[in-house]
Amino acid sequence: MLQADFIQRVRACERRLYRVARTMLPQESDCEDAVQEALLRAWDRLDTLRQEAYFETWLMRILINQCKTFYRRRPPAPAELTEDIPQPEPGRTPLLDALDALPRKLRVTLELHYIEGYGIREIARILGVPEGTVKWQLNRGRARLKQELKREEACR
Amino acid sequence: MKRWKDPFPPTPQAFHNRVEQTLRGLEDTDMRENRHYKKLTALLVAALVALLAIGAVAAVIGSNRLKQDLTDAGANDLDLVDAADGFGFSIDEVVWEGQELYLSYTLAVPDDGNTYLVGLMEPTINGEPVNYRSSRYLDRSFVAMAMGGDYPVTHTFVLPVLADSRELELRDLKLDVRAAFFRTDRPFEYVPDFYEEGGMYDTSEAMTLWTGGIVQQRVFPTADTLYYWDEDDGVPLLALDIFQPVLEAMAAEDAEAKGHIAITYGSDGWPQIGLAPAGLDSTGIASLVAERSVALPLNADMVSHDLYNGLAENTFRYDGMTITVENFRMTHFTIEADIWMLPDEGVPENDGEVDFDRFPTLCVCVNGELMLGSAWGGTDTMADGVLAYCEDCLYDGYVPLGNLEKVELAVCTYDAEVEDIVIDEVVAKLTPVLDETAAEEEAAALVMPTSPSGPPGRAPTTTSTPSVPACATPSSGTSQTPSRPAKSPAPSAPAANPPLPSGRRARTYRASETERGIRGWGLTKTSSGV
Repeated sequence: MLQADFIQRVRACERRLYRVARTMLPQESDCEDAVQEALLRAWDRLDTLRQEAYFETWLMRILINQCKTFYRRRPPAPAELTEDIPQPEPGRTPLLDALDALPRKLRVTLELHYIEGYGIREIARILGVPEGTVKWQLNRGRARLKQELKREEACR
Repeated sequence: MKRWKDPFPPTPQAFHNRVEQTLRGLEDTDMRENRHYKKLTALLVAALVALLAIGAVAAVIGSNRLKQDLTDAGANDLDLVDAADGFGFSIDEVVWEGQELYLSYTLAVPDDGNTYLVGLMEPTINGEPVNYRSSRYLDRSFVAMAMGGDYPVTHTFVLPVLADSRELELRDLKLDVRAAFFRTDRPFEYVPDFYEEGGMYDTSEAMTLWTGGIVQQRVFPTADTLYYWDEDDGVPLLALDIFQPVLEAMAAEDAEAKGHIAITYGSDGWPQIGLAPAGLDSTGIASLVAERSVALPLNADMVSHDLYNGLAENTFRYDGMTITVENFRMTHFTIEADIWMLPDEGVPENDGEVDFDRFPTLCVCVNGELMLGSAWGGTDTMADGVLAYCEDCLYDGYVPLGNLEKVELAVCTYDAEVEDIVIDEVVAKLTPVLDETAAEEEAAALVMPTSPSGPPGRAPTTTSTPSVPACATPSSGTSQTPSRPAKSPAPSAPAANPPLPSGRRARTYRASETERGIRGWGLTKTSSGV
């Protein structure tokens, strides 16, 4: 893959990179750092990409692992328990709020499947887990998401 | 699958700027491109030989069960043992199911009070490196284990070699596997419990390897203590995939400089990562003292097929519901089935309330333990969780051939604390049977792989559509009687190659006691569980 191709394909999936990073990391600054590191590593390890058709999936996997590193470095502080639902920030949707309320594993799996459109097999590869685990996380994630959406709606 | 509307806010300008800044900073190197294409050519050659995946956490399946239960079917003229000076490596048993190859291997070190780090080097098939795939069981890195000293001097593992279904040629292959033995004087310490959760402990002295998709682990080369994972059998599994020489080698421009990164994980499109016991030699942690290698011929007539393709009884009752198991088939390591649990009174309308904690799925358990991959099926479109289904289930795990009465169907629930499913209640005992007629028909349709179009070594089975029961779609108002979706007929595939032998019993290959020669290594200390 030529450098120009690499750049073009990264630009084409910039939005996806943002969403995946944002799903993993609550801080925008961390998202920026993670994607930068992921791109540098992807470029450095480009010779390991054996089929260019898998570029995006491969890049997502690198990004997710980079996000895991950030997450480990600085796990998010536990949210304070409160009866009140905070007012949504500008630009935020109820779905995004509900997603953010889910455990990280469920959140990422749902995001990859229902927003990015990856299949179960692809997600299994991206996350490095068995396909059965992905299916389970989707099942569980959907149920939890419904609960969160209902809860938010009731609190509004 | 219906995709959701993008719920995220617009991409921040700062994020966009960072991406652009990063892209602008990339170096343009023609050398990289040339190297890439040369390497790609080599990889394609290798891929034509075999695309295999090896599950790294071999112990997941169970270290010694294979030895206990698989039958000896001969073929003892294989070179399966390499032992000298107390260092030994043997392949003990092999089961090859066409797509998945399982071998048990035994490692041994001298009982001289020293602690050794032992691990497998990069296997090759017909001289080409095996390409690992990271999609299964690779959330830990099987790098090296501690043996000798305070630890066992022999140990047996089961190593699953998971074939990529597209391009495996089933004949005239030779699998070569090497084991490397390192000596270390450092003591070991268990990795802290909070490690996996990214606990806040000082990592300033740690080295982190980019593992290209595998959960990263850390090692502290400058510390006096080495960290390890303690697997079920008590043998430490060292977290040694993080050390500077590997980092440096991975960053090196010359691919040859990465020669010591022996084990590569990844398949089509996935990054190679370097985890290998061979790299230990340059870390200062341990020094290489011995290598042993074993060669294993793989021929088409070694492939075993279904052990069972049906059940003596496939309908069961449970708590006012009927459970039906269809399309059951079982091999040494997998159970496939479609399983339905339908309430007698029909499925009420889906009101969106799903009791996941009641019937998340149906599971198959063996000897009281869930088979891997049991978390299939679901109830997401079912009201109140009154119906569970598991369509096209594939349970991975060891199937105890000698204890078939222990194969059971269970209702499972999700345990939030352990973030996994657990057995709620055993519903029925399954009695697998072999339908010879069906097996012969299937054998006749069996196709040896010559193209990437289909899985080798196994005829296509019936396919099920749609993926959820018809009753899953809620109707307005009243309850409805559930019904199963229609099955499409089994497709017949052209016989591009001669069919495999029609014998249906599994063939396994095991070295004789003499060949295995464990006792001949003069070891007096036995490992735990061996």
